[in-house]
Amino acid sequence: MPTNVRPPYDAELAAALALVNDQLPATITADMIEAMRATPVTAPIEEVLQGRNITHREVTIPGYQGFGITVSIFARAGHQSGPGIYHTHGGGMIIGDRFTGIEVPLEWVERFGAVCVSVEYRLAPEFPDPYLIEDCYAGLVWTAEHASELGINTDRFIIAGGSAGGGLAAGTALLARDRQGPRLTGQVLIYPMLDDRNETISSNQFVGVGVWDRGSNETGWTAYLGDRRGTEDVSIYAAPARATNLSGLPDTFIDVGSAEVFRDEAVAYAGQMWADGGVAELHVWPGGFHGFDLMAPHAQIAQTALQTRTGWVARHFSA
Amino acid sequence: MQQLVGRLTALDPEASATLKVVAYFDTLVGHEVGIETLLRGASVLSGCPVGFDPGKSAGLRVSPAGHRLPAGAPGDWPSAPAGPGALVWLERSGVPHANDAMVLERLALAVAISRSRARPGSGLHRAIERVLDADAPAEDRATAAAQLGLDPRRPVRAVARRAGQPAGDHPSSIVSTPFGLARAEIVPRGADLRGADLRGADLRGADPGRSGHPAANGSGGGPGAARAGIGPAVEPGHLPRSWSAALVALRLTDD
Repeated sequence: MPTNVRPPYDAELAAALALVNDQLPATITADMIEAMRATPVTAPIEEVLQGRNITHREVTIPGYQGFGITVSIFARAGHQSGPGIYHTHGGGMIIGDRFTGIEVPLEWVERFGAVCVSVEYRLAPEFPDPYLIEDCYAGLVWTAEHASELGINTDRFIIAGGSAGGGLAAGTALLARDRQGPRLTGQVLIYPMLDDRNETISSNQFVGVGVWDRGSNETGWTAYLGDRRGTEDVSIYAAPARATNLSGLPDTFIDVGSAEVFRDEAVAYAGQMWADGGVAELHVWPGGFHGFDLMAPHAQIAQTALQTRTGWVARHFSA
Repeated sequence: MQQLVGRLTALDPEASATLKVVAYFDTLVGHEVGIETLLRGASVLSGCPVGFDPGKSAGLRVSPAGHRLPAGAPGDWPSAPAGPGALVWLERSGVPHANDAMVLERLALAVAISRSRARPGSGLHRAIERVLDADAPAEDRATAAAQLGLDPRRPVRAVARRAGQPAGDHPSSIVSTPFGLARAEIVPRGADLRGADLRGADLRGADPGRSGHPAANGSGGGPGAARAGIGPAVEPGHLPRSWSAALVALRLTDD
């Protein structure tokens, strides 16, 4: 049942939210998808890369059913060998491209000499489950098969994604486990979208407020799963929250805000990993709305969240 | 959904966004954030470094990314006083952007409020906020009233003025309201409200009624008009009601 009681926003984020909501309403409905896709959501990649010593190239690879999909490959100029990051972008399953949220892994490319491969999976509702997860898995397979020539030392090979990308990362990691490969050493799930059922307390606390509220979640999951949403006919790869056995997964980092719909499913996922003997680090940022580190990076809590996430990657890559 | 339209970046250099600026700083002040947080806000909204010199101690400078910069001097940058002895400034080179003046003004006001809350004697300000707060328990409000030296049996009025108005003769403080910041003053029932010319209200006799009264000075409201909303006289325990009426009356003076 929707409720009016919810954790308050961080002061600095509350102020930012007032302005963010001017351009990005809390509730995304299906009829808004086309307009949102048409609006530029990130600066062009050339601008993002300006001033960074990073090379970028694009390759067409076989996705689900052999259909050609694009991956972007980022590495430091002169890169020889280093850790690998497979990136699955966010956008609620319905918008975004392989450059959405790319600043986060680009930071890791720069600092740790990693190679980032970012996949452009096909989007819902035109392409429902399993296209998205299978495109992501196909990209992971391609990356692992070409690791040598990409300069990736697979001793340190992580998957990372935010929001819908976090859900797809978790689902892809489960596929990799259950299909006996490729082998990942870590997964970074950034405020991940894991649960189509919308039954958690936090999924009921944000209706018409914040960023990506309960209504938006219904829109995204319905586009992704159609009539199957909320039924027994949903795989753990499409909705990782439904997995009851999380053993055999790589070391995991999960972060989420206390003031967003995804809070409880992220916390539950970490809890299930620990119950199954896994290695997981969980951070719940007080007063964080969905995507707060990307939308208000100047805020003190956003800076801390970014540093903490990067700190985990630093430890993982050097361990 | 991440990295979508909605990322907080510098305001449009040409389009005025006064409401956004006011909303941003009102939210921060309402949450009683520290000065560095206020500076970060001004910096991200303007897109340039912002500085603060408190006068007697080390200052602060921040960047639009929210990082601390080495301390610096106000120099010739656009600046504004931020309470006694202090200054804030915006390091804008070249042509000022449309919202620079508003950002600087609201930053200065917010910093002044923050400093007054932190100063010794800020107990006065907290007590005023508490005694007017309808959501505070009656005991807390009674304690606050005692701190203000209010006799529980002697009626007082809440008076609301614009946040930028200077303080009057009676205890006052800038407080957050649903309509933004305002200056709240508590005056005894018989007090002479300086500059106030009350149309149709008898302040010296019996309580004129439950509603608040808008007031302006005798000149009828020129640029120097000291507009105020005056709440009904009540026992100190009922000040939230008087304050609520005073706020409504203050808004009526907008016309």
